[in-house]
Amino acid sequence: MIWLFASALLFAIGTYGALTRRTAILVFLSVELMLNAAALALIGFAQLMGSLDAQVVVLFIIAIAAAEVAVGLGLIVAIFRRRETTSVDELRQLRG
Amino acid sequence: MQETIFLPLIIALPLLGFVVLGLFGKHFKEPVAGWLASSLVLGSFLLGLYLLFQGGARWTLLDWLPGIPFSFNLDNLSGVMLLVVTGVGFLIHVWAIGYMHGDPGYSRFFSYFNLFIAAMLVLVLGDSLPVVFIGWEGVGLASYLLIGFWYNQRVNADSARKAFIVNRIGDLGFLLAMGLLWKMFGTLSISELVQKVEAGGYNPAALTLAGLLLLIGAMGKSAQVPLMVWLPDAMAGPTPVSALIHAATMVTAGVYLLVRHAFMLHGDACLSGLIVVIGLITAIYGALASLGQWDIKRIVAYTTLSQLGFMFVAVGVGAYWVAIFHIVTHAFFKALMFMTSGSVIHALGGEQDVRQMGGMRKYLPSTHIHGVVATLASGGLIPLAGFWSKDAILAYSFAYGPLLWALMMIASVLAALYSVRWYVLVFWGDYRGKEHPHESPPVMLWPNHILMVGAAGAGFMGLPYVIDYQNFLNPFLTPAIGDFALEKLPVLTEWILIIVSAVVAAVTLWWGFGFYQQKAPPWLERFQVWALEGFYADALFNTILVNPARSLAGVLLDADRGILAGFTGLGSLVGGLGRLLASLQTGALRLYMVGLMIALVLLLGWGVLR
Amino acid sequence: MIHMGLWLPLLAGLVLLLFPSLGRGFAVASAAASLVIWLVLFVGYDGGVAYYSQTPFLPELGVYYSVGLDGSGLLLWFAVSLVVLLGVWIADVPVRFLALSLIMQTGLLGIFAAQDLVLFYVFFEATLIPALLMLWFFGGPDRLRAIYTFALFTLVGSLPMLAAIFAVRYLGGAESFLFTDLAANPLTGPAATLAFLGFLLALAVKTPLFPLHAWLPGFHQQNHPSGLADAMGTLYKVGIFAFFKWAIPLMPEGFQQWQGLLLFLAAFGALYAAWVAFSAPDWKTLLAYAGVSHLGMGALGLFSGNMEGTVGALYLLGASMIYGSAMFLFVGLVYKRTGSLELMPVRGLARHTPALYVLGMFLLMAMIGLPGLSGFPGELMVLLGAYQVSPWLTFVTFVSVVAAAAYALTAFQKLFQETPPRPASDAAQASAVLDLNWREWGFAALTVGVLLLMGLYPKLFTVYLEPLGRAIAALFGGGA
Repeated sequence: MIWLFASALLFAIGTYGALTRRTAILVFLSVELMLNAAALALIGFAQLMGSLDAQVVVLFIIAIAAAEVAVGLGLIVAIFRRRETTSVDELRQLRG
Repeated sequence: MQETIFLPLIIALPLLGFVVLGLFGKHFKEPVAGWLASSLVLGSFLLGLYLLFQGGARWTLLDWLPGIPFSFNLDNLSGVMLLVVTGVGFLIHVWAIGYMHGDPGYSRFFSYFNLFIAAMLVLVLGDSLPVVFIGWEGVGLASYLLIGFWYNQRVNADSARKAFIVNRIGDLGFLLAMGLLWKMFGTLSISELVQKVEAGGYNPAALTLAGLLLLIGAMGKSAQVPLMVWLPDAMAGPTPVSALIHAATMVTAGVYLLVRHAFMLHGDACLSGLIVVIGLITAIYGALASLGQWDIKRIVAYTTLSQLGFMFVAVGVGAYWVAIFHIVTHAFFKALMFMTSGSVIHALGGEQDVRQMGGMRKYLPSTHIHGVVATLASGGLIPLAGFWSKDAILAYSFAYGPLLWALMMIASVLAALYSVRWYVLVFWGDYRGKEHPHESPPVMLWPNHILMVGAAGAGFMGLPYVIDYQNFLNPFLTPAIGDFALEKLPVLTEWILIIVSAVVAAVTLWWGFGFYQQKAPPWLERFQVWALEGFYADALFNTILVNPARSLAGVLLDADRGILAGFTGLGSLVGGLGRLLASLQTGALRLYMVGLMIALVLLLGWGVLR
Repeated sequence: MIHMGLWLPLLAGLVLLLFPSLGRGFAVASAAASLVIWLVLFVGYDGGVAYYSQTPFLPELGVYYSVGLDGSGLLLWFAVSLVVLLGVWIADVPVRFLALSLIMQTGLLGIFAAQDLVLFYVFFEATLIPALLMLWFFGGPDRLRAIYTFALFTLVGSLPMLAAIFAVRYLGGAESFLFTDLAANPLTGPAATLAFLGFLLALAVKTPLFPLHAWLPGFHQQNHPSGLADAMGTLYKVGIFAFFKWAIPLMPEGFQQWQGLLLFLAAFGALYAAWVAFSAPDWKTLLAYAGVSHLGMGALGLFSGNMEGTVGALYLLGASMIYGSAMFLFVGLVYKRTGSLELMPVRGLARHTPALYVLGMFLLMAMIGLPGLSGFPGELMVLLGAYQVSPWLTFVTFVSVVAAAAYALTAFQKLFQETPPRPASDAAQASAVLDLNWREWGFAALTVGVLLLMGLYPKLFTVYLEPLGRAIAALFGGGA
């Protein structure tokens, strides 16, 4: 049960960070926190149900998250090189 | 009644002429084409006569369309019509050999002429309504082609088009009548319809409607008020066309159609009354309008209208055989009148205005005699053909109602007047034109001689019963039309009517002969201005029908572009919605994030609270 | 044989695309071979769905390559084969254009022969490709807009039909998409109403039924003036056939829900289009609207749901494909001589070209339903059928017969009989207008022969159409 509270806390922190930070890196970091909160919640529920299946899924998540971080950071670096900034408030070219 | 392949052969002969002359017309020297066409029509005449003596004939092709046979039927009624069409048709063909001399479209003319004869025979002989309709539209086509024969002048082409379109209005009635009869009886074969109508078991109101629709068809073809506007304009065609199509045969097709369907009409007081009224109006309208014309052919055209009105009255009062009788006599004297006019036009090198004529009795002696007989027959002088058929119509009108008789007397007085007016303006007085007149060649005179004999003597086949108790025509036609006994007038009444009618006609002719040689009084000139325009019927139709329809067509074309624009508008509606949604796409990442969170909270809240 | 007839034109078309040097002769040979194959099939026809064959194509999904010809297929194969032959014979166009026509022929033949609904849909859509290519490569200056409209109408219309196709099979509970299976398990209830609407949207575009005819005038105006593409487009108006073959038998209940509206649209469209045609500024617009009017009349017959109406609709469809297409090709001949399609008085063309005048007269008279020519038998049967269902709508529809005479004769008179108010300055050119050459004579003879044959002896086809009409009538409890 405690794991679920921890997960919720982690998710809340991540949300707060994602909403308040302006730097892309920090937003990205916060999103990672939220992702891990989700993984933690998964394990917490699995614990409650006495099943190990979720562990496998979480291992997958971790592996894919690693790959995703690589791509994400790569993109941020590329954007920084081009635009000299990583502030998400300034990077608004994708509006409709 | 025998099934014989000779029956379609009657039609095939002139059709062959149409095809041969149409395809290879260029290779025929001038008179050859004319004689070929004429002899084919004569062949049809003789073959038809032979088959009629055999007691009639039938020919059937089953299931031409599902449930509809392709059938011809030669009985006494269609036989009489066949003889008129091919007989008078042959004479007019021969006459045209002379009249069309030197025309660049000589072969084309006879090709169309044969097409007309073939189509008219299909109309007359057809036993299945769709077959009749083939002929019905076929004669319309031939008429269209021939009115517009000299199509290089726009007015001729316009007249041809007008004739076709007005006729089509009538055809619409014919088509709908077929639809209704098929729905009621499940057959379109006339001989089967006769039996089914006799058997009963249908809604009489529906039968009245069917008769009304057929009547509309007949009105179009026979140029009855209000569908008469095309006939005077149809005179734009060559004169033989006017004589054959627009006087002797095609325009009587409507009357023939009604007589053929007498089994549907008789005993229907409402419908008969309508036919009488239409016929009466047409008879008087045509006569009055004729009195104001100056074009010789338009004079005769309006007299044709008037005579067609007489035939309609005959149908309306139930004297079906009399209608056919009048068709026969009218074919003779009206063809004669037209061809006499044509001979005069020919003699004057194409002049058609009677104000440029006059005094022709000195220049054209033979034609003058034709003119006299035509005038007297048309004006109803005893004992020429026109008198007997008109008298029969008057007598049956009296039996229908004395008021009708009185009105019809007025019409026949007018008929005598217009005949004599035509005669005086053309043949009497002094010659007012410049061209030097010359008498027609024999090839144009001989047909007129024969027609003259007919116009004088054809009446004796249908004498009133007080003179000839069983005349020839009435019992001859009865088996084909159906035996609808008509009340015979008392002998004394009948005699009085005959005498009144004969005296009135003679007096009118005599008075008119004097009157039209004098200068016209002013009231007459005022009247003639009106009559010249046909009492502005054309202008009226143009104002209330043609022009609005034409303008509406333009409006509709624009409206149709509007429909496409409407669909395009539907497309831009989707585009607009897209743009609206795209404006939510601000590019501000953290705004999206807030939206995401709010949605998450809402979804979770909904999931928990549900 | 039927497979050869079906695929030969595609093959010939592809060969011609690869080797354009083969020229027109090759295209004509292929088209003539198609017509001969049709003749063999016609002579050997023995009623029912003949030459039936079925091969599993996607058996798991119940899709078969299944073709066969019934009476209607036979008539329409004739129309298609004949028109393609006339078109490749007469039209002065690049060889690639001819190749596209041949390719399109296979699509059209497939539409009429398919006995499997998915196969039908494939042909129905695939035929669009060559039609669009013709417009794209050989169209007029404003063609982009026409393509856009045409493609959007047809594609957007087809998608609901695709959905409805699956609905018909899976909700109806049929084993496969074969016609026999589907017809044995007709869709019922509200699902049928909706599924019929799906078909209706696609087929109304191709009928064309008011108001979804709006794409047609632009399509014709922008197509190549030779008229070949227009002729092929006329053949592509297969809506009536598809209603008859698929939509009505598979969803009779659905059809009955929509019948009232459909009858009204058909009748109104017939009169409306004829009226509009009267003020059409050029020949192609006129013919486009004339086509809408005739097929509206045909649709009225079919939607009557009885034997007479169905026979009439199919016959009128076949006949109008032929005279409509031939009329477009005829206008192409006129264009070749006058350089214009506008409906203006052109120096009394009849004097210079009497043979062209006669050909035009025949086509025109067939078009306005003169008895004795091919338009009339269909119109008459439609009348007899429709009158039983709704006399008033029949009246409205057949007023267009009067209107047809008005627009057709007026246009004809301007073309052939009237001379322009001011004598044309190019008098020398006027005297150089030539009458038909031998190739055009061939075209004229074949066309007129078929018009007469179909007008005077409709029994040739109607004996095979009658059982089909009775089958439709039987769906609605009409005579057996």
